[in-house]
Amino acid sequence: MTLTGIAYAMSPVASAHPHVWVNYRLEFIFNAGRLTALHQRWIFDTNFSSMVLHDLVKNYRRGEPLTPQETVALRDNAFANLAHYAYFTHVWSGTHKANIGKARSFTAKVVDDALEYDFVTPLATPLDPHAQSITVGIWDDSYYVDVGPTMPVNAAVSLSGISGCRALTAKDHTHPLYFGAAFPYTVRISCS
Amino acid sequence: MTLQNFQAWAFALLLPLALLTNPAHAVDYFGKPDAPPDGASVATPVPVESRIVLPEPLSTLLGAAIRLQSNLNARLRTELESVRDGHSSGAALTIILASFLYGVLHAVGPGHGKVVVTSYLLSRRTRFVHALGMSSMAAATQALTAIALVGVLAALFGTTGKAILNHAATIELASYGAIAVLGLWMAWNALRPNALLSCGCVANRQDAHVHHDPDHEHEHDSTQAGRHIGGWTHLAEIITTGGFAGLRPCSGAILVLLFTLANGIFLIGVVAAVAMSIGVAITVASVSIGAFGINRLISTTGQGQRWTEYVGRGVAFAGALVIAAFGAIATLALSTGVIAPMVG
Repeated sequence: MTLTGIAYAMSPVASAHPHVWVNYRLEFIFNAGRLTALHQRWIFDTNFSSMVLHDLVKNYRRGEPLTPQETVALRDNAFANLAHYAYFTHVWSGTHKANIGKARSFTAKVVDDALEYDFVTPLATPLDPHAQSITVGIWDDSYYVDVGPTMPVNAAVSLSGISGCRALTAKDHTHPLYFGAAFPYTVRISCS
Repeated sequence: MTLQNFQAWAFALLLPLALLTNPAHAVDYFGKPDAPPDGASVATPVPVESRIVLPEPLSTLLGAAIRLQSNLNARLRTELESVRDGHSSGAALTIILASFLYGVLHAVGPGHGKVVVTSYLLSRRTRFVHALGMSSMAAATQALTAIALVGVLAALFGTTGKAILNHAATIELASYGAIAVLGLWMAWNALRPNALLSCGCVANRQDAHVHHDPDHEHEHDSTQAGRHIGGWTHLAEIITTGGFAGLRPCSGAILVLLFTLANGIFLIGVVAAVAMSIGVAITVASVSIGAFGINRLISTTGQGQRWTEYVGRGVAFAGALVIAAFGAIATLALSTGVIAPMVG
């Protein structure tokens, strides 16, 4: 209890309440019955979008599509560093945490003032959903970024390249964020 | 060095230093330290707030405050967008209200100088108005630093939003260093003769002898305490503590200011930042008044007794050490990268 109090008091210097909001859509890509990659689409809040576009896209005009050079600028300056944080993507095969490779096929666009990233995160080793159940969650442990699926949650997730499996999305109470003030969603793949 | 000197020097040195130097740990747009250039992966220990869960109902309350804050933030964004698009009827009032409520809720979470302000008020005899003044000072400094950062750097020098957030992180580091020094200064102050006392009952050693008659003692005591705690040194200490506690700019305000600047409605952003800081002040003041009340409650016991002078000195000294330790630990943790900068 005392420790909790001290930690809470000290945490102004730890990462605090969210400053960036991301809604994601997630496509599980299976090849030959194994999960090989996650196709992710991140939709940012318009405040964050405005700041990043203002910083990185010179003479940004609302409503005009981003050029390839502008997309590269966004990738290099406001995305690439997330590789060191596994793009906030947590994958388990059973209880074993799986490794994420470097993202590929990065594209960006702006829809209704909201910046959207589209990219594919490959798994270091393909996972067999029949051997072990697969669980995937996307969240920032520090809660600087609030990451969650687009609503309704079930429409945010899709499976491709496999049949007989389904995805169940639910709040994961085993991974509390920010002193238990919030819980992330995780997607569990179960196959018959 | 007198306190006034210390205060003036600290402010004069810290701000330009923070603006000119590169942050010790640059962070990216997601609040994450930039990786070393060799591409080595960054060790990411699970942060403390993910490992520790507040007991119920606190965690649920904090969660509700955060969700409400997110909703207000979204509402604020929508209204700011409508001002940008020229549909401003009634938007200004909504922006002020949403910013104010956002500030109230925002300060419920960690940060905003509550540790420093409450440690000070718990351990020292102060007046009600001092508790209010200290909280307002902390909140106002926070808003002004944010406005100054965005107004000067972004508006005049075209500094990017990311660089501004990093400058804010540097100011954060500098402010914790200043808090550590301030705490040590207060600790020394608590020990020297004629110090400000926790109980406020014996302001002067010579007066201590004459406290025989209870009625006289009471009257005498309040006069002494009143004169002493209202002194200029004390006031300067209150202002400095509040100012340092709030020196770190509020990133919520920075983001709104950047958005309004990018969209040509910077003045609306300034109004929103001020409204936010009034909201923050109300929350911090509520906590401060609690600390002030506890100190009064405790210090009333045994008022006028000789021993209370020593207890008072001890408590004031301990409070100052808590402030110094808070500043030192935060500075160390931030500068070694144990915890990520820029929050609040």
